[in-house]
Amino acid sequence: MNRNLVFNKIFLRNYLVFTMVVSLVLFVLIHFRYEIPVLFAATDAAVSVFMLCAMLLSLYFVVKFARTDSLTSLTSIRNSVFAGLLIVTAWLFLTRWILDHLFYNYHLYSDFLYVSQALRFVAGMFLAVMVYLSFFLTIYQESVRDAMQRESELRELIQKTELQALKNQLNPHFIYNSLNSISSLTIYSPEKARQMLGLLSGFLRIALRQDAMQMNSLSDEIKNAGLYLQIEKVRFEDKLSWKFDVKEEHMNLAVPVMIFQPLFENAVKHGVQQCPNPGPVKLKTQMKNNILEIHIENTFDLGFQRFKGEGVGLENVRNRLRLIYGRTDLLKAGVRDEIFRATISIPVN
Amino acid sequence: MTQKIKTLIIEDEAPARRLLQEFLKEYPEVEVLEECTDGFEGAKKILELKPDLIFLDVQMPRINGFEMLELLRGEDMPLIIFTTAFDEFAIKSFEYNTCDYLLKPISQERFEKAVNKAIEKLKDKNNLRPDMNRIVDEALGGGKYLDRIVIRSGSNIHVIYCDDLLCLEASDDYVIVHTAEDQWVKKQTLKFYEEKLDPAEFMRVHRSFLIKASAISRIEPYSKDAYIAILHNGLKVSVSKAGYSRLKELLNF
Repeated sequence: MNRNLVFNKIFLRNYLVFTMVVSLVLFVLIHFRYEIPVLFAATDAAVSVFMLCAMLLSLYFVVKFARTDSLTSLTSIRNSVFAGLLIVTAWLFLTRWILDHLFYNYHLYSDFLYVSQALRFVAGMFLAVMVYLSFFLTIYQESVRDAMQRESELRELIQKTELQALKNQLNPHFIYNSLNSISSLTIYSPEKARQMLGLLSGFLRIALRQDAMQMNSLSDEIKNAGLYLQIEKVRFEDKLSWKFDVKEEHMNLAVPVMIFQPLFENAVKHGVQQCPNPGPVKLKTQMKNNILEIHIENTFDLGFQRFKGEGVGLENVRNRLRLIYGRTDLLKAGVRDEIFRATISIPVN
Repeated sequence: MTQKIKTLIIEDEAPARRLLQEFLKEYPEVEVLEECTDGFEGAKKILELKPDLIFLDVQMPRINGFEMLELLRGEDMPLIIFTTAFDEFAIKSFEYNTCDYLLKPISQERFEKAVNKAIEKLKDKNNLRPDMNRIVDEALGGGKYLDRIVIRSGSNIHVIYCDDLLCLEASDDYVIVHTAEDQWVKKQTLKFYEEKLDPAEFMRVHRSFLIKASAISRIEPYSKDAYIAILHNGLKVSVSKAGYSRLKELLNF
């Protein structure tokens, strides 16, 4: 769809009809009210109205390129009034010059032309205001519609991300497998089973109350990640180990709640379960120009899996960071030398 | 019953294996020969030990339960009890084919029901077994297009990613899988791959050829109604008239 009204066929057709109607009205007025002969009256009406309407089209750009959010501001109104005055004045001189030259030896008409200047100016301004208003309303309506569409898109993204986040935290695979492990532990190590139930319920409590926009301290998030890995360690035993290297001064910084979870789930799935000899899952923090960088890495054995770009987990992290910080460059991830590395950047104010 | 039921547990998580072992203590007639921790080992042990019954986890490292079964196509198969945590697609396939499966966390009651049923089936030699080929064919890929093909040659197992595939060729009961460097023989039908590989990438150009569109280097006319596609590795592939028009549609030329 062409959003530029001036180049829209239907608009141009209507505008032409409007112009013709106004010309006709003017003709009737000049001919019958001021008793000017048909030829003069018709020429006058046609030249005046067509020229004015053509010149007024440029008002569209004045309205359009006043920025949408300042459409109703004083500057915008002042500019429009100024543009209107300029156009109408220019039109007035131009039509007078043209008509004067066309009919310079018909005194009756010349007299009328000079006498009617004030009236023409008022009528011209009136027409300018009408055209301006129609442009203004159309563009305003367009901008409202655009804003509404943007908002609904954003709302959809929020909903999708929230739902996805919830789904991710409550990976049913993880829960059922953990419960199966607990069932097994009750037989040969009831003590450990009890301990694991505690861990699992602690984790579920955090995961279940999650909201995509909520923030949490880094230290709490590190605790959650530890909780998750401890639960998974019961399943994977010695295959799973981890090493966190978090600077003390970063511990109180705020990060989105559960933002690391998809990365740790991936680490367990691709870096531990799929690897015969996995190394530890590592987390390290670093401050760079007021940006807190969190690096997470794990082994990625290419023998039996391939890195196929960002899956649901990484996409979810990226979407949440975009929702909260309005930026799409806060997650970097990739595989090199059989190590998967992800870096989450958190702007700190 | 004098002869014991030879059983394998194929499961990657130690606690889950221990749970099965624990439940099996109630069944002295069931003898667990070995525990395998992935599909790779599982396939080898099934061929080597010829068990009567296996407990098979679906989600496992290296190759999963279904890929393992696909490798053993045509072999004498044991009775299978699947174990899985959550896999809607697999479960649908099991139910549809009336095959026994245990959902994790596994309850002892449900476990005993499954094992009792298996023992009954094993006693009765005429008992109909579910069609494993069908279950496997349905469940492979988990409802999505395949991203790899697992192939056994001798005692070796190879995983070929679809990114590396150039062409699949039908040959009797087998499919010859062509990659840039190698050719592999796989017991499967071309029709299966036509359905299971992404149609945006792979295309049936001939009765016996399924090719990856991006692997074509050029196409030459061969006879009145036939063409020859030459792939990046130099392989020449017959293209039928129908295949040619399908290619035209996909590649927009």
